[in-house]
Amino acid sequence: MLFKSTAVITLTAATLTLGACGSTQTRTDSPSGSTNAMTSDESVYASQATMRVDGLGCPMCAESISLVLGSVEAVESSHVDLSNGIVTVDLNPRVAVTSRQLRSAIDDGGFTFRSVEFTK
Amino acid sequence: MRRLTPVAICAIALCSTKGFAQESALSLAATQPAKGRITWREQARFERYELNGEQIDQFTIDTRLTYGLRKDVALTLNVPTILRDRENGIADQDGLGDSTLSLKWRFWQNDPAPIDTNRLALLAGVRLPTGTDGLSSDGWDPMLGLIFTRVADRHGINAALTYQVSTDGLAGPIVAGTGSDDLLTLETSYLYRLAPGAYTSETAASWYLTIESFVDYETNGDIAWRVAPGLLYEAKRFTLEFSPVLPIADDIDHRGELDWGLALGLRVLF
Repeated sequence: MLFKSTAVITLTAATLTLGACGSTQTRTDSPSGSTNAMTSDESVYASQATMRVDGLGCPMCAESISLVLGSVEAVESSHVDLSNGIVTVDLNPRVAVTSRQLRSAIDDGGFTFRSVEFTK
Repeated sequence: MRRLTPVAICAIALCSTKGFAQESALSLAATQPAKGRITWREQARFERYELNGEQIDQFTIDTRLTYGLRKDVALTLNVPTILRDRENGIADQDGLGDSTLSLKWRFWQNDPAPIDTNRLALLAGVRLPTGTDGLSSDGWDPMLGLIFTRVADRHGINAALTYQVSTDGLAGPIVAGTGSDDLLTLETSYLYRLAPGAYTSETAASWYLTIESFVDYETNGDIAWRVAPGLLYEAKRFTLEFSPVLPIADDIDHRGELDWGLALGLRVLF
């Protein structure tokens, strides 16, 4: 009886895990196509950056993004729109920033960066 | 003694395959703080056990600090403080319990939408013999686990399978995993976001209804199934959690049987 119970538990966990792997989607990390899209290492002096981010999940996740973005020198403040995965970042226009820096901060937060557009 | 029935086994399987989660009060999740960030969690738990006809009340305060070493690796230290009141009054035990040090590595992540995420993590840890006499297993007990988390809009599931090797143990243990036998645990949880129904650009907090399930199997043959329905309030910088714990079925001959329990917790993000 106990052996059967253990077997049921183990198989259930394995099924759940495999099912999850099989049902997930793969998305490529692609730029938005906007004329303002930058290459990763190109420095820009901008007043605002708008990023598309996936995997936000919850209000505390959103706050995590704001905290990690605070480590980027050019970032003055940020706002996360959970419903659309839009992270709007107010930048110091006198400090250079690259999309790589912003992407790295999003990655460090444990989220998936999709694209960024800068507003001069 | 609450014997496991086929109905109970089916219910366990059902709980394990339905639904979706974020991080509920008691069970593991494949979530972790961002790199360089710290979460502090303080959780108070009351549990009433029965062992050989004696009623034992245990009050535990878990202090847990988690630090994001990398974007996908976090280090957690959990230090329990235990107050144990035994009905016979001759063996009350208060003091530190055994601390646990663990590493969680999120080795797979797929984020298909702004709110949705799927994550798999490995957990490796060791329980340290830091507890006071009568509360410590006196062993260096390694533990390994696999954790899955899925969040899909208002729904979340977590599932975790962990195995803890016992290198020593208490004589006359009360709690699962504190004796000299290994412990296999299957944890599953489901979270439903009560409010807001849909996130907006101004959302700053959420309410969740949670249901957690725990199956503890020890290599001495003891097996028990507990469930914990609960409520979770998550703001940007903190989370409040409340969960009663109820035994559903067990077949226990070597330790205390849980009558009921209650957990209250606070998590803060730094």
